[in-house]
Amino acid sequence: MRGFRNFLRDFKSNIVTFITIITLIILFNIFNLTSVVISSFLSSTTSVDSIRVYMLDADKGDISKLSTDLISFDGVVDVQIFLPSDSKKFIEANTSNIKGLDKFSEQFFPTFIDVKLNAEGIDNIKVLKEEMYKLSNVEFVSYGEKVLGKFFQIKFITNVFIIVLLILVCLSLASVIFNATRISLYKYNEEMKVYLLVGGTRPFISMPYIFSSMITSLVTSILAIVIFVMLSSFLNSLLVDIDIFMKTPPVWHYIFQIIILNIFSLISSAISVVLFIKRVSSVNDV
Amino acid sequence: MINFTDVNLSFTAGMNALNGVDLEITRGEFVYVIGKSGAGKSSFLRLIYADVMPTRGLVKVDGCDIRSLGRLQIPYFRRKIGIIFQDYKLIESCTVFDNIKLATDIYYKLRSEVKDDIYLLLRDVGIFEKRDELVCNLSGGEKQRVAIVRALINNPQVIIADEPTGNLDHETAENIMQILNKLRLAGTTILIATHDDNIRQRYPAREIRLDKGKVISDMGADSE
Repeated sequence: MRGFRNFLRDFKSNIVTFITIITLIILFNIFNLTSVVISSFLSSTTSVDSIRVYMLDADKGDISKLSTDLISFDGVVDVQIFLPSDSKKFIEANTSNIKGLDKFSEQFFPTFIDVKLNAEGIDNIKVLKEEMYKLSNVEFVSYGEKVLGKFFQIKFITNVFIIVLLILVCLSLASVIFNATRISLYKYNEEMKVYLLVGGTRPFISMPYIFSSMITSLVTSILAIVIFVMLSSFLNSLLVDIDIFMKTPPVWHYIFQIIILNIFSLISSAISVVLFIKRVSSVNDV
Repeated sequence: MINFTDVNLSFTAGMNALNGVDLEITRGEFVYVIGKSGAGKSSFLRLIYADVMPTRGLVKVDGCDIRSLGRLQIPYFRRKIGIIFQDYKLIESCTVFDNIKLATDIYYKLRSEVKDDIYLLLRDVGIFEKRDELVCNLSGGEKQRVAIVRALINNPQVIIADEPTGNLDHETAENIMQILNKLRLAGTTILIATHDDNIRQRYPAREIRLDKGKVISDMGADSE
């Protein structure tokens, strides 16, 4: 009750704190949204739906035996054979900046089988790849690991960046709350001394200030997230008109943020109050 | 009620605020603590409400050795004592009622629960009509009465008043002493640190005189 009263009493003087925290959280969420969009783009880009099996010798009998062997694998739904002439056509059709490709004879192009998969998970695909290597006439099996590896690295770096950013935001929020609490404590210095004088316990004196800081951080973090969700929904409604849908972070991201931010603010306000009350130990020097 | 046994108190090494103080104050006694500035009067009183701890010796209040009190127990101990200061220690921006209500907050009492008690005490000290005024608008005497009501609201066993009339004119000081004297008659143990000879003559009681931290005389009202 006293905590809520303190929150209301300090509302005006805490407006700068509210704005700072809201700005911090919105900025963090802009980065988080960017990371979710990147992550979602990379996830769709890195989903493996086929493996290419390149062959050592490529007479028709070998090719058809290998394709029969491949289609018998679990997780394989279809195979498509690319003879050197098909490979050349495929490259010509799918690249735009390789000059003089037409001067190369077809014999320089590989024979491969494009194996369509419905297997999920990179580990399953790795197992499948190992199994394919055991087949005769297989020279090389690839699902684009090198490119995938780079994409995964980008995804990992983005996630690390967001975690570091979240920690920095938490620390900033904690310091903002720490200072706001301290300023408010200076305002109530006399009140605290009176409580000490009449036998108020430390928890009795400190709890309202901690509670007031908690309300401040809870209200501002929820408000910041509501503002951000509204902004991102508005942005999405504009993007839908040009056939783009921006994937927004899942709800648990927001809940997690609120919990983490409020834990940090609770700890910082508690430290602020405890340190202050330690200083105000004597009732005799108001 | 209050026992001091060979009590020393020093804030800095080699400088004793109190030096070998031995005395006993019984329940319901009215005691003046007198002496020059720096004689140790305030330090003596601060020991009683456990604001400082003795460097040596034993201080017992209502059978409780203050040195045995943990940090968490001190607030509960302090609830037995009502403290009045020369500078009132009121919150100037709050009303008279709210200042007194602060003292009852520690028991988580609602406004409606304490209203009657506060009004009764405000009537007793003659400032009932000022109950909703801000403390900053009151005179020194009125502020001291508010401080007295705040000290009394939780029914303390001991009242400690550190120069309660120090900032007041003679007439107002007399009013304050009348209030304290009424409490004395009601059986509350009262300790007053004072410089004021007039009030001691008007309301004679036991006098403990301190000088350089030592008790140099301890005279009952009768022996004076």
